[in-house]
Amino acid sequence: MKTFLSRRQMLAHCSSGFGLLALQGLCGQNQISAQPHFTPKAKSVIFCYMSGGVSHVDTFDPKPALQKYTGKPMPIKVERTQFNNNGNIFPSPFEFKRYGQSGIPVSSIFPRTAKMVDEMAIIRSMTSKVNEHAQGNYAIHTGFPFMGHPTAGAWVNYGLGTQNQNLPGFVVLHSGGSVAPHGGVGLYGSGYLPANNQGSILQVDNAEPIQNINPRESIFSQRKRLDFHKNFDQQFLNKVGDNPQVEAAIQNHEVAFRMQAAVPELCDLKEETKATKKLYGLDSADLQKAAYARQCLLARRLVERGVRFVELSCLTEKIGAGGAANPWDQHGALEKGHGAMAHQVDQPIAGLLEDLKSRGLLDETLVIWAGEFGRTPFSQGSNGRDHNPYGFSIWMAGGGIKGGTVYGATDEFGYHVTENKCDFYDLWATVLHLLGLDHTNLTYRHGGRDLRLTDVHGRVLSPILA
Amino acid sequence: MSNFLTCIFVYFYVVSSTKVMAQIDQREFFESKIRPVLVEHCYECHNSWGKAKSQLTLDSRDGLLKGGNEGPSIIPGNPEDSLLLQVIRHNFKDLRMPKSGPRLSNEVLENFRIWIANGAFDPRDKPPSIKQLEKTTSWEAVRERRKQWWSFQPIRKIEPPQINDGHPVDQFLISKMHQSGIEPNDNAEGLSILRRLSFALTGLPPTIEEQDRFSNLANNDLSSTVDRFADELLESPHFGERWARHWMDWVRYADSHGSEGDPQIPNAYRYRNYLIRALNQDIGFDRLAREHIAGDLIKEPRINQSLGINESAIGTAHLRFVLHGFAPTDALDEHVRFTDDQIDAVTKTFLGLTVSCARCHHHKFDAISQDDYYALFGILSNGRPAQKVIEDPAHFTDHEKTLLGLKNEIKNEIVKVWKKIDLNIELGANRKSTEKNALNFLRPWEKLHSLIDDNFSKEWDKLKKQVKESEARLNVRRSTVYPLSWELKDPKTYSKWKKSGTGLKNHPSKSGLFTLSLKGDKILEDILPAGAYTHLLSTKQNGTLSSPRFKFVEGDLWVRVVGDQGTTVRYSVWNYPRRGTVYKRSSPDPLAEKWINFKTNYWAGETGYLEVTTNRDHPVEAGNAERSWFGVTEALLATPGQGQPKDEIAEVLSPLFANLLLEKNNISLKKRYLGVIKDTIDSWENDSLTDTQARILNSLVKQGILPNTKEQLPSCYSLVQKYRKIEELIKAPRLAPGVLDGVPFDQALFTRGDHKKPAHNVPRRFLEAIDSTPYPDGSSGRLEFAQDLLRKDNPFTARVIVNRIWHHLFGNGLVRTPDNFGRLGELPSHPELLDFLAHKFRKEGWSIKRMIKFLVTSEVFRSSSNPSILAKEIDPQNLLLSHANLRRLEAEPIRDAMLLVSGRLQLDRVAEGISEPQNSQRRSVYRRVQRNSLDPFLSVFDAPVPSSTKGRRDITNVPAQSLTLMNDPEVLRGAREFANLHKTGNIENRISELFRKALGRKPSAGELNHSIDYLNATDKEAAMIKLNLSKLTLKLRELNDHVTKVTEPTRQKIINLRNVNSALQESQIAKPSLHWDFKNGLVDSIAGVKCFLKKGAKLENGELIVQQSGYAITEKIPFEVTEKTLSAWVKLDNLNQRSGGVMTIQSPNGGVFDSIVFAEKESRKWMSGSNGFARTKAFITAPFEMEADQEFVHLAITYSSNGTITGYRNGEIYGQPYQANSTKFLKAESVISFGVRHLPASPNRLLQGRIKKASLFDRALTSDEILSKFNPGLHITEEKIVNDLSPEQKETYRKLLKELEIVKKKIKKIEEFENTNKPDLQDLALALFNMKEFIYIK
Repeated sequence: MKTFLSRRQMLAHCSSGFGLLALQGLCGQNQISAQPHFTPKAKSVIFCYMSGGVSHVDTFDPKPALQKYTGKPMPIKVERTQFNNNGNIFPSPFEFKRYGQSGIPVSSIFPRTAKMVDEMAIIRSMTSKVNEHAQGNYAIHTGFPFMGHPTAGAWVNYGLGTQNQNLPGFVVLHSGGSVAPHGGVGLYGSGYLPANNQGSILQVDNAEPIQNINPRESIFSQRKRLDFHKNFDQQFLNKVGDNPQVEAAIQNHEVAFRMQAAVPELCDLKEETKATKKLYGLDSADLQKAAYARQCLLARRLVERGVRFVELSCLTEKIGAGGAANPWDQHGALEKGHGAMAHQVDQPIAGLLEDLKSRGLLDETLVIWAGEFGRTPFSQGSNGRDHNPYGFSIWMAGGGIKGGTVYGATDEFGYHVTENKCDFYDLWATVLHLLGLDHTNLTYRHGGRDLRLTDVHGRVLSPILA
Repeated sequence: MSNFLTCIFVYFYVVSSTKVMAQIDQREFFESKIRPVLVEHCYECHNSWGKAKSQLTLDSRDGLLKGGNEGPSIIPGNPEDSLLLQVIRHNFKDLRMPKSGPRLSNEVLENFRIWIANGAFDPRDKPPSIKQLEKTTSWEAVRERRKQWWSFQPIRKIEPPQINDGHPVDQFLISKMHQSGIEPNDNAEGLSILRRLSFALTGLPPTIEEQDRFSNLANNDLSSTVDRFADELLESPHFGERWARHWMDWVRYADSHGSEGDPQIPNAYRYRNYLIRALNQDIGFDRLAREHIAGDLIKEPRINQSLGINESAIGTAHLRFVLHGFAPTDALDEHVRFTDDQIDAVTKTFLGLTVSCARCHHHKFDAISQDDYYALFGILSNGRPAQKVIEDPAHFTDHEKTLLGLKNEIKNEIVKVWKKIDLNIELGANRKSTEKNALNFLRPWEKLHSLIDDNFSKEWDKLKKQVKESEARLNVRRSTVYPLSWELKDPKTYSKWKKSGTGLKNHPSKSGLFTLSLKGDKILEDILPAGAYTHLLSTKQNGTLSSPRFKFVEGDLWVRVVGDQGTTVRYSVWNYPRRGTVYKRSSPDPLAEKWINFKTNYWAGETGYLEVTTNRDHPVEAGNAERSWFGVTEALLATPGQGQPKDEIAEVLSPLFANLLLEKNNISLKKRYLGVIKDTIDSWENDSLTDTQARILNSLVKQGILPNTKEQLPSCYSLVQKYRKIEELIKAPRLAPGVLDGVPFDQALFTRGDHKKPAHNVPRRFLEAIDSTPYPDGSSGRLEFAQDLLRKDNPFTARVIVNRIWHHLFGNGLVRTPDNFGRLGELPSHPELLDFLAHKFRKEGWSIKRMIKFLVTSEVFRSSSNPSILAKEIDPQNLLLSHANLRRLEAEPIRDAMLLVSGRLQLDRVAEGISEPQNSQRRSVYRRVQRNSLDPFLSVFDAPVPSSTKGRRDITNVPAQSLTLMNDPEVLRGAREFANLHKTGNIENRISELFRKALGRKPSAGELNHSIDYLNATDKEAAMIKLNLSKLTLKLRELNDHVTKVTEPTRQKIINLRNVNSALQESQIAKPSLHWDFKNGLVDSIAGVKCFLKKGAKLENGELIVQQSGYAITEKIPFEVTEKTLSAWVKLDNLNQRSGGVMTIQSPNGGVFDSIVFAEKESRKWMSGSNGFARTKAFITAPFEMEADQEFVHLAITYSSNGTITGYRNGEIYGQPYQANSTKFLKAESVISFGVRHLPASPNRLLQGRIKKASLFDRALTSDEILSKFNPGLHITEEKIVNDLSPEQKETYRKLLKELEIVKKKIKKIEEFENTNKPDLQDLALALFNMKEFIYIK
């Protein structure tokens, strides 16, 4: 018995990442579009990451009881906090109003986002295992509290591939001096997945938005040199028996060449109307807000072009302990800090949702809004809040989400989850599900185990699905 | 799949055949091939007594036939429709068995097919009894079955097959190839072999000289040439650098811990240098493995005489390459994580096993139990994070003896004097104390000596009462049962505390030991109560003192310490080493003992220890003070209400009040004092001081009652001086990361891995599959574990390392998963060869070099990489190694090769120095690995993320790699410098040299012609562009002239109006130290420093013109400059130029300089240039220069004393300021140059442009001062001028402006993209870097 294996079959057979990659190379793309496990609801994800830990009791989880107990010590056991400087019960300084058909209450610091509440499913019962920024950031991004594991965007890209051969499938946006959250750019890393899945950082307001994307000479000269060495490369390829790896590397030069044109085109907003820019708040005199708005608009342009996963980055308002890496971290001056941070993102995100909707993209785009943990219902010092991983809120909207839903609940203080407790594994199980991927089947063999974004956990939160 | 491939996948059981079942005994077939598989892989979840997932039981014939929810499992006689077979073949995506395991081997699948096809004979009439089931599915039974896996089998002694008389390795390989009918490839071309060899052994490309020599020799005898070059390369110091990097991948080397704050791992670099040295010296792998686990405990450590260090002690540093979170509120969770990280790295690196998979349950696939995991956990979790002394111990003893002797002599001299002095005088009546603390011995005297009669009596009684109360408190303190209390003077207690460092000895320090003053006129520094001290001989000696493990309770932790403020006093919860919000730390007081308090409520219930470390010894937040010291006397853990310990007056005053004072007056009191003091001095002389007496004596010395100065003790002083000289020779010991063992303990197993659910304790021991004997009670087990790694019946260690060596030489291991030899790893392609090599390696002293030499002298190493048609067809993965594997270079050799060929790689200082910053030109192995900001160039080419063992790097193909090679400024710089090295000579030779350096071979005639054509084309193109550009420039000049004609009269008018004001302003603004206005010639107008024109530079119309080779240089400047501002007005000839300097201050040879530079690191941007980029960073966010070719712009760079470097352009801050070290320019030793970055004035440092004015200030001007210097008041905007134009003029002006815009745009476009003055071979150099042949080794 003698079977001839085609090169494609042979590569598909290889168990290591190399096989897959080389195959992608053969297809003349930096990434093929892979097959989802079942019919997807969403094609892309936009992840509005609220680094630093947004207080849920001040945003999407109103707790009138806190008013009642103002200034009193917590009547229930207080868990260890990171600063161990615990004050008394501290009601939200913000008012909540009901919005939309669903009548879901939202804090006054999100007046515009609130109007989109009928598109959103708010999860009020999120929990995390860790109580510290870098570990929390890794936990929500990768499922594990330390570097080394692939981030969700990388998993999605690995599972689905991009639909645009000139752009990376997973893009992280920065603007106005925003930086990676605590933990560094490893949060966007591909871990043990092949490196082509890692996030490409796009500085949306930078003259060179992606590292080394600007040619240092005319395209003409560059093309000439490319052709010159391509000739040599072809000869080399022949000499080494048409090695698929080399072939893929040759193709990569072409992809890179085309990316040089695709990226500036992407970042050039001149074809966007004034009204669109205004919708997002790009015209805002508040420079932070305008910068964040630019990320939101870019996010739409990216998903339009088939990018699978876009992560956005908040800018610091330098209030409380909120620095560049953790802008929402108001251990002090919560009212001022959360007010300013909400102002920065409220209109841009609302604008993004509206824009996606009016273009018919919201149905196939899943928007996630989340931070690494919530904040304590009691104060830290006089006017801040410490970290609270025992119960907090996130929301999702768009592709496959049942709008106007509230899922789960915390106790009357907003301290611990009392109903439908869930964790980041459930979040990603749900996200992958909406993308047509079975989270238990999206695996990669590394270090002797078949690893998953959801480790050995995760369940799809079906009550929030449309 | 062909039979051939099946063969390859099979290791132990050789497949029989696929023929007819009837011929063999069906029962035997079932029992030997089917039942064991069912038991091993199916019974656990599908049995008749417990679990029957999907209602399916597979432990009886009926169960099998009936099936479960999905219907019958088998249809006898019809294998293809049998669900069981489909499921184990993984035909369905969502139903694959065994669950989440690897697919069963093809052989097993084939057996099942045969079995079903032949009717599925099954003797199992009924299911096994529950006992039988338990027995077959018990862990012991499972483990024994799993131990049959190939890697658990002993290493066999195997003779190579005899195919021909060639190399043994080839015998094995060819024999296997012949079984498949494949022939090995012939030798590759000679120079390909050399390139392969050179990169494999040193990570560097072969030089032209090596290529020539190799070719000449190889013409005669290729094999002996390879032999000879292999020897040479193995002897190269760069061998160690190459192979240390592989090793660093295994142990996840990093210079920081990651997470929030990403703190440094102090001294991590010493481990890298240790590896390089060890590999270069070919230290046996057995030795190194032992050092990695227990190098600090080895009885006869490896001493490096020339460096004076204990090499062995550095080995354990990798245990500290763990990740650490920031201030975790669940400290045990963090502890479990970083211990898990250690277990993972150690077992993968040395055993090729994934023991960390057994944290929550027995290993899913391998013979590794959950107990195994916790046995190793117990060994490793005991090791407290530490900095360990690596100094050669021999260094200390000599000096220590001398110093001790001197101390004795000094003490004897002091006692002699003290016994003779008249204390009556010293205790003069009017004495006022300077000491305010409780331990002031003179306090009663000060209070009482002037009182008489009743007053004296009253005060005496009052004081006496206080002292008695104080004694009572002390007694209470001593008799109270605290949860924990320690007195460090107690030898038993002292021995239980863990110590490291050169200052802390084996026994506690007795009362009355003292320290000498190390500077000044004093003799004694302190006389000390008994306790633990690091500084009895020298404050350069160091120490870590850490308590036994204890459980925190609610209350307070107290520790009584004295020491310098660089010392850290802290508690550690579950070995967590970092400081953070809920991890408090404190510092002692150098002048007095102090009780330091930590509240413990937060951590009640957790386990931890107390630790005091001298400044450089903190495991994470180490300082760099060479002198640091501390002493600890007591510590306790108190529950709330158990009082606060404090310094008690009774601790010095008790002897004064011990007896009644017969006459209550000051004469009697003085007598009492004199008596006590005399007794105390006597006791000191006899070495029998109590702590109280020691404190008394110390108080007396401190207050000058007892003589302690140079004048008072002249004979002592000379001894002290001698002491100080020798003390200077004591070394502050060098340190490396490591661990400090506490008292050994067994770790409790965590049920399902949940650290909140401890179960039974597991003894510390090796893996039970090899030996489950517990390690001795008194040992942490590290030494024993190290020993077990190397024991004869452990088949893993030797196999794993030879496989790693094979992997790095041939591009793939014999086992292609080098970190996993378990069930989920791949099978060895040549198990016999692997065993042959492992056996040989062990027998021949575990020598890595010897093994490499052996392997690279095989024929297979030399074979060409182009597969034959047959090989491609039947062995596409090249498992048979019929041809060499094509390999992409790793990130480091790519970068190193670029640096090398462009003449910039610094190859000296092998195995020396700390980790290097990003702009370093040393080899990449020396680069700092900062976890949260990994090097982008290295990362893009798959340098590993240092989070776990990486025996096999990814080799990805991503566009970012191509973008890097096309556009990265460093790559372009490399190409430019590469071309610059080849500027003269015959074009063909020059091209050929480029090829030889970059690709290790000469270009063919065709390639040469092709290259020349390419260069000609780019030349022509460049010429055309140049012509075009000069035409446009001319046009621009004309238009500008025209505009000037229109606007100039109006401008002049405005200027004249303002001139009066401006003169005034100039006199008020900051005064420079040197100032040139080239209108007034070449001499500076402040100090008269002359400037000289060089190589065609000229003065014209008040401008210094530096073009082509021209530049200008001053005589030496007559003052020293540190803080400074460089300021100049400059206009550039074009914006494409690179790396020219406007104004530079420098040493006369240019070795040290600071300069205003245009477009060096980044094109079209200004920066502050400096020698070797020492003070250079980009001014980030600075805009591209768009105007300096059109008009003069003002540039200034300020260098402040704190190292801030700030750029200004036209009065405004340019980009972001940054920090760097400042440097000093010596008086009469420095010059200023214009138009050249620094001397000597080579072409790539020259500016093309003109300079109008320039100044040097001896300080960093403020932004306001810069603004006034630029003087926007004088800057007349176009708008102002246009406003004053007549309507007609305005119209002309607008037209001209439009035309100007168009021309400017055209010029900009050309300039932005065309580097019109690049070296002529730069395009080719860059093309070579981009060639696949450059990054692939064929």
